[in-house]
Amino acid sequence: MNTVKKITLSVAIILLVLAGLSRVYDFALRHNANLKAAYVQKAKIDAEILFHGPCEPLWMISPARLDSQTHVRSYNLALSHSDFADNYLHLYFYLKHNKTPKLMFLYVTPESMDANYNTFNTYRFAAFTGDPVVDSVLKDCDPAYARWTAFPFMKYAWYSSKINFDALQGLKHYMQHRTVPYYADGYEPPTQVVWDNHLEEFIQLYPHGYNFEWNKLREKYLCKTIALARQYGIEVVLYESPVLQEALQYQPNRQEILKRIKGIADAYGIEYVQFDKMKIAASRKYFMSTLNLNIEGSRIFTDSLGRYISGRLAAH
Amino acid sequence: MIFNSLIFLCFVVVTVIINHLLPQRFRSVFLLFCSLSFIGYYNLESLVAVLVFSLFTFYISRNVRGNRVLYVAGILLNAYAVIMFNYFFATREGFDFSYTAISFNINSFIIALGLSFYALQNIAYLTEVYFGRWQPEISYKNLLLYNSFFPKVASGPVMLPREFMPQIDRNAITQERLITGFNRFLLGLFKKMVIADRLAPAVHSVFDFGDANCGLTTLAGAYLFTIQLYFDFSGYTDMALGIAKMLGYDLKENFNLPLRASSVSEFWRRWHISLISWFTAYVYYPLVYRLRSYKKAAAVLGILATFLISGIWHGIGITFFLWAFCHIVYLIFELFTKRLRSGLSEKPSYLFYRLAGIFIVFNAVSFSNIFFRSGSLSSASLMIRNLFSGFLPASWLRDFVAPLAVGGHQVDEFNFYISIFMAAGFLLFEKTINRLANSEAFSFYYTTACVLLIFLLGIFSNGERFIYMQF
Repeated sequence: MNTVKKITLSVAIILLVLAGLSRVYDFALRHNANLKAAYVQKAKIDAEILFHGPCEPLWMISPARLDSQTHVRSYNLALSHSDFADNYLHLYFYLKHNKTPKLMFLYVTPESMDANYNTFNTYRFAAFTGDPVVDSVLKDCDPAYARWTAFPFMKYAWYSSKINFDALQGLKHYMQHRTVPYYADGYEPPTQVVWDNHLEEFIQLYPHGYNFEWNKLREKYLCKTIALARQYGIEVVLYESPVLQEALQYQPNRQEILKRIKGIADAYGIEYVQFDKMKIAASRKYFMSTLNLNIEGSRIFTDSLGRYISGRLAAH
Repeated sequence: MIFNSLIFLCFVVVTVIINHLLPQRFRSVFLLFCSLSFIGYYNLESLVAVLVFSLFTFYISRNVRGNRVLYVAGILLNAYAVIMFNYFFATREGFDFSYTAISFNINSFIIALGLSFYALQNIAYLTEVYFGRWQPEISYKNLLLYNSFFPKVASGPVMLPREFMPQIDRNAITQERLITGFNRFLLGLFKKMVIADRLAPAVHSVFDFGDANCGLTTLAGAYLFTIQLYFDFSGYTDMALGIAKMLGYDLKENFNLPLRASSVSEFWRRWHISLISWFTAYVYYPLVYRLRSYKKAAAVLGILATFLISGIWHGIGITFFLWAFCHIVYLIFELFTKRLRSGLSEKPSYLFYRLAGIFIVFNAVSFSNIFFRSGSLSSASLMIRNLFSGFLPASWLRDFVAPLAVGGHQVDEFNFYISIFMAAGFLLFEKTINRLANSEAFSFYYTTACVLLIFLLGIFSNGERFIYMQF
């Protein structure tokens, strides 16, 4: 076979295999029950209350514990290391396939408005491109990715280190007919029980304190998330969980940012509930790091939140 | 544009096609244009630096023959450029001059791309002209292309004038060269994206967050860095040689299975060959020749000078000095035990001797790389302390896997094992793979396998900058 024919055959086989692999990955990722984006589109969760937002709610709010107090079914839709664009798309997926919840608690702090904290995790949505809402968010938040994904399999290759394992796991779930995730109610108990020295490192990096930077893209998707929920008639409550008080002195503009968040809440006519005055905020004993409560702290906070929600539901 | 970016791939494809279509007499000008565009795209300072330092070198070379003052001035100018330009950091707050070692800080910013490499080339060029071994270039364009040639500007290989200049305007582009170049480029992409970049997170977690690591984890981290550095740098070299080949140029090989070296001197004949050749030709041999009456002492001084200057070239900092010091000790030891070791190699158990040598050299090099990689003396000291205390604690398996898997999540463990498997497999079959990569015939299986593996396992987004780009 001459060289030109060999090259042509090679290119053709490569494109064919990549196109085929793309299909396999689409299928596998949509069947991975541990991926919230896939799970909420397949399962009928139909929760009455949703807990949403970046990291902290994920390992601080236990629906099982909360439901025993409120007697209402809840689901933890929060995700690790995510920003509001990430949250927006997960809410979009959830609402497309589940009964509209009554109430949504959305975690918002100065950290969530600063692009140095958390990120948009494009790889979570690779299997769902083609949906115009998903595509527009990808174009907004990860334009380089959006540009190159026209090439076969590139939407998976781009973040292969994040996706390969999930694809394999999805195939495993399909073969085992597994439809329930490892954490069925969305809550992931915190793995750490000891203080992680994050504050000490933070102080070393910023001995004169750190001023949060308000990011417009974060603001945009916070507003879109609220608007989406309101569009479905969901009552939205923004909240801030306890923050270690010892850390506040190193965040000079925290109050200013909190005011701006309150301003957004007021603009939508919704509440911004701050649990920062709880007694546990005074002691490291209840924290893994400045924002993250440990298991003991989470238990106390969940109980407190449960009482708040019960009171709110009773009032309505 | 880093070599493993999609925009660079497009740049290479367009450049190769146009270069191939152009008549021979226009190719060097076109390649110069592309090279300067490549450098200018990186930043304006790099473009100005290569234009200015090449111009100074060009004018000095026109009058340097037999003129010692001008010759020394030319060397000092280029040495000064390396020292001054390489030790500024651009941070968010602005530029910051630092005498500390170059840290593996993703926020650090190289002001003048490739200056360390073409400064060495300029010194070699001036030396050759001064001693009458090479005629000064009459064309500034040729000298500029020699320094700025984009496949090699970022991290070498360091080329001598007699190795590069004759190829300008006399290079031939044939189908075989295009195929060989492509095969080699593909190999480089594979090494960089599938192996080196996959190992980076584990290395990063041990070196940059490894305060409480046990000795076994620290040792594994040092091993992994050596392997990462090899695949990163040799991958870059493969890409550079491959692109140059497709453009009609032959660049010098920089690696020859260095991880199979059974002595440190053999290691240095196989690792970063172009740099060591330069130091051997312009530092070691002149010094040893001048002091030849002192016999072994001259060789010792030669080793000292070569590696101290090499350490400074890599970075002005105590960690690079200690890295160089390690190799000085190793090489002096080998110098004084040469007879004993050659006696051992003649014994029947030569294979055992060779394997033992490979193991010892790998450990010696990995130990020295702790200094090379550590951002500071304190972190290097901490790693060495960890290495020798609590090597295998009771919880060793958990302590070993967790940091290497970057947090212990399944995804990270999976990625870690894949990268180990790929690296080990590659090193076992390296000779065969290299033979395929240097083949003049298009191989359907080699090409298809490489491309598919790059797509399946390569790190596209957040790809690591080449480690040697910062020198």
